[in-house]
Amino acid sequence: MISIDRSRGEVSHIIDDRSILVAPKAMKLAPFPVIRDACVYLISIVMLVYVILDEIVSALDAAIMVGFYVIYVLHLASNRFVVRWLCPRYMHHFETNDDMEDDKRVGESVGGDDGDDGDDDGGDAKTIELVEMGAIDSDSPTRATTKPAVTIMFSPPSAISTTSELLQPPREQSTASSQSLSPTNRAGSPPRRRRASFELADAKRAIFGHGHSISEIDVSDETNDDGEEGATVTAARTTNDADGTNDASHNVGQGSTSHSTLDSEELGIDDTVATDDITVLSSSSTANLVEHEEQGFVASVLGGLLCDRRHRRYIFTAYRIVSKPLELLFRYTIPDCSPDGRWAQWYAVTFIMSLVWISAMTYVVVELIDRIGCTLGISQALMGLTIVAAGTSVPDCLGSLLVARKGEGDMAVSNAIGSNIFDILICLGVPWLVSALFMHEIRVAASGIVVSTFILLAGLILYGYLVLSQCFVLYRWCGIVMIFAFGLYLFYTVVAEILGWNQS
Amino acid sequence: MAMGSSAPELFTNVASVLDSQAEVENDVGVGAIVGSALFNLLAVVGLRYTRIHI
Repeated sequence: MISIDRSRGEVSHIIDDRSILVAPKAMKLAPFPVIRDACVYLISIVMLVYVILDEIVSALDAAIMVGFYVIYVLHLASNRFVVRWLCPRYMHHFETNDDMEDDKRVGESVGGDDGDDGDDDGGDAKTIELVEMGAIDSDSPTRATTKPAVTIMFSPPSAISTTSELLQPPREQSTASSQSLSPTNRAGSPPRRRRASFELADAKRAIFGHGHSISEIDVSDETNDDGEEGATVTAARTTNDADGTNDASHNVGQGSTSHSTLDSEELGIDDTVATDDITVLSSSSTANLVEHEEQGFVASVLGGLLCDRRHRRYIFTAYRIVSKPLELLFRYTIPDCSPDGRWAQWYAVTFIMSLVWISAMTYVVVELIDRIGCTLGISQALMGLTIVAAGTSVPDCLGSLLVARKGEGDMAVSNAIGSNIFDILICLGVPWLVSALFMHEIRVAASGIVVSTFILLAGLILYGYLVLSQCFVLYRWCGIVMIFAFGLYLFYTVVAEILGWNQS
Repeated sequence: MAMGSSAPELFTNVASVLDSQAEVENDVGVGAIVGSALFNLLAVVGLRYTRIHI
């Protein structure tokens, strides 16, 4: 396991690849960002409760929500000054980041922006990477300066963190690759997997147009984690995908979130386990990459539960059959922008098409959820709160876990909280605003949602209590308490639905 | 890129808004976002602290 101090942009120290398993049981959080994010989160929730309490969302309500997020982002953009004012001892993060900025040609345009988790190590570095990507994506010099602002505004922290690890400055890589190979070998990974990750690196390089070689770190991480599960499992997966499904695989990965959500009642588990055999293959867009890693994550969770290799094979076959139509569809509609293909320059189209597919699939999911709920007599709110919620927050979960794998647990927590703020204020606010302005006002059945919102508030208070009572050090039992609280919440939601407590 | 990661949440609500008529209540979107917020807060952070290393 390689640990990289991103704020300095170099490999700072090498730990044994098993050391992550014996990582300290407690995690220290930086107080300032935690408190700040929790406060903003609290305000967002209160705002949400206020907005939906009268069951009608007006344009003003939605505009307030969006406006608050804009203020929050502006605050983050001036985070450096706020930090200097409030807690000067954190300033060293920014000083080291200044060096990074000087190396980057877009340093000026990101100025004092620190991303949503600006106080963590390398917040600046990540933002810059993201901004560079934004500039490259737009592929026009005039937009290169305007795009960053937009990118940051609409970037949930999870996105920042997920992409950031794809791009490392080249000088890190040269050291990292030579040093990480030996741990990789020790972890007992089959060569196929590593090769796949190199393909991944090629794909990423093509997207971002950088000469950076990327994924040696990813390789060591993946093999680490699989080594934890058992190397035979990895071998089973990796031999299964030896045929040439490379180009379409990411498309399947991308579609299968919606897909598995859609079928979650019957096939959810099977799908996600099976998708793991495509997750090690190449990915052509960053959006897909998120999905791609996410499948690996979900699959490895479930893979731990379903250890039997023979059963796994049947699941793969079933998954192949089910996913074949979608796979073909994606293969012919999304250009494969891998570097050697003829569509290498079409990464922007790949990205947009992926978004289009995500939105189309989401629409189908919402529609189906609606009908299933109607048929079975389950309210939309419950379906949304449980099934859709689990489906949509997998990317966030993935983002947090990817960061945490790098040992930056601090940022993982910021991710979870920060992306919630984004979800509440932007993902709810913008569609509501547009709808209220141009279509009609939105009506929300307050009863079920408001209760859930209050539970969310309670969850935040629980989190705050745990964090504060332990003086920003969280222990294992805190996590268990939180998971237990979530289980309790699910239980409550289902029981309330069955007993009809939410009927107004 | 950023859109890519939070696209499901956003589009869930967009679809839900598009889906709803003026008189019909719009719940899937809000439910999904509130639910996923809870999931993020409790389950994701919780998993992190239990150090279930995936």
